[in-house]
Amino acid sequence: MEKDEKFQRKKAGKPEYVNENCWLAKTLNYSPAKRCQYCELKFRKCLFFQYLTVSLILILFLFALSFFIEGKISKLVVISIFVFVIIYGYFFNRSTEKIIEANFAQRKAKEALEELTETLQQKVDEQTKELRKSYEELKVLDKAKSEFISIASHQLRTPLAAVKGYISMVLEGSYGKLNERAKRPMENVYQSNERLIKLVNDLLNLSRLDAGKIKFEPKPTSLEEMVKGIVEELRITIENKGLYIKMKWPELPLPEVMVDRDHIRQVIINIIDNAIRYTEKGGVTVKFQITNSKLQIIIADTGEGMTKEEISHLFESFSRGTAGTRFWTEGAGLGLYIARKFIDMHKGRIFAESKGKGKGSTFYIEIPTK
Amino acid sequence: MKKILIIEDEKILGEMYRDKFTQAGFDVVWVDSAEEGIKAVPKIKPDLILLDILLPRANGIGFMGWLKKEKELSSIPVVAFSNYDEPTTKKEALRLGVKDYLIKTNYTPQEIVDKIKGYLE
Repeated sequence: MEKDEKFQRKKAGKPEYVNENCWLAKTLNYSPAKRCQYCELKFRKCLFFQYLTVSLILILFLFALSFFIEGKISKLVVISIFVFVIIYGYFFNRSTEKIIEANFAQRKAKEALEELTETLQQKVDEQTKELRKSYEELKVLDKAKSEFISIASHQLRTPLAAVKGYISMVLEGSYGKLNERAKRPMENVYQSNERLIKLVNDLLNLSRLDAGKIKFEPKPTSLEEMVKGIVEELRITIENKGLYIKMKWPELPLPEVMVDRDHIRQVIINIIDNAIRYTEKGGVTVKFQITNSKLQIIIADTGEGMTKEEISHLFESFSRGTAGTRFWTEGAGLGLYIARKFIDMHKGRIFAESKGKGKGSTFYIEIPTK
Repeated sequence: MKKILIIEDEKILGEMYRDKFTQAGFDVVWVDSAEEGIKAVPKIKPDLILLDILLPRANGIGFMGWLKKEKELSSIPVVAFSNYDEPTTKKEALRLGVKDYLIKTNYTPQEIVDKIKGYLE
């Protein structure tokens, strides 16, 4: 109990001299406890009070006695006791002075501390208020930004859809047989338009990723079937470029995995699309592998390859301050960054390897099977 | 011959899809607003409606809301095709019963024709 009280007093920042002089401490309103810890008695019964009373009686008694006592030795004893009481009183007084000084300094420090705490609290309150206001403003701005991006993407896509549609129809011969000399330029226009469409899609995805507004809706999916479909869709583009595309199947059937189909499809298309773009001779091979409860889609090309330095920056967004210095990411900076973000959502991994320039690249998309 | 109603407010795109679907052997009616679509559907009773979402005044979502309430017409399949790729709108359109929500730039007109043929089979 005593220890607890002492602890409470220390915790409350009360001065230690409460123990030295309970009466004075009480007088100065510094004793939180009704009992003095030093003498363990109530104020009225405390040692100081008793000392004071007894001392006064003793002084008066000795003073009176010195008039009546005769004999040198007796007077000497009385005077000695009288001197002792005065000396004792002197030292008691010294201790009291110390307490008063300490009390004054303590009170000043306490006042300063209270003032500082109050000022700090005011500042914290003001800043919290400002932060709350900024947060509300940001929420409004964020909503406006998302709406703006959706509308802007819509506006950008409308002419792109017209170019894509009309050029594809011209190439299909919907408006009569196309002159052979005009075919190649028209295909180039179509491909350039496709890149613009991809850029708009990537920007839209990027803004949503940054705002945390991309939904993740995993469903059991056969990646084998998905890749097969994508390869068939891209086969004409690949073969038009004079490249091959091969698929290698594992001996055992692949398990279905929980993936967000739109996201994974976009990632696979992105990787194969890049492989086609950066390959002039040879082709692209897609295979599957199961390792440690993970399904890997491996996309290898015989294209221009990459240095280690290039690989280390491959999955960064070029909006992160290196735009203009990394020439090799042209056309790929956003797509691979988004691909990594999508794979991260699946708790998977995407990485690349290359033996160097001119030696092709291999991309690994790794998805957990459980 | 399958009858298809295209609701598309962009003139260039409307003409393009009308040409493509006509060449593909469809009987095509093209209107440029949801209000015109609401007038046209009971008259022509199309086999399928190809619906743009961002339209002036009443939009594609409003059109779907109307169609769902029309007992005789609510069974007509609708495919939304838009460049407005906003998840909430897409979700709402799917909730109102559109068969698919296609982003126009992701498909050539031929690919859209192929998809529509698939829905009509």
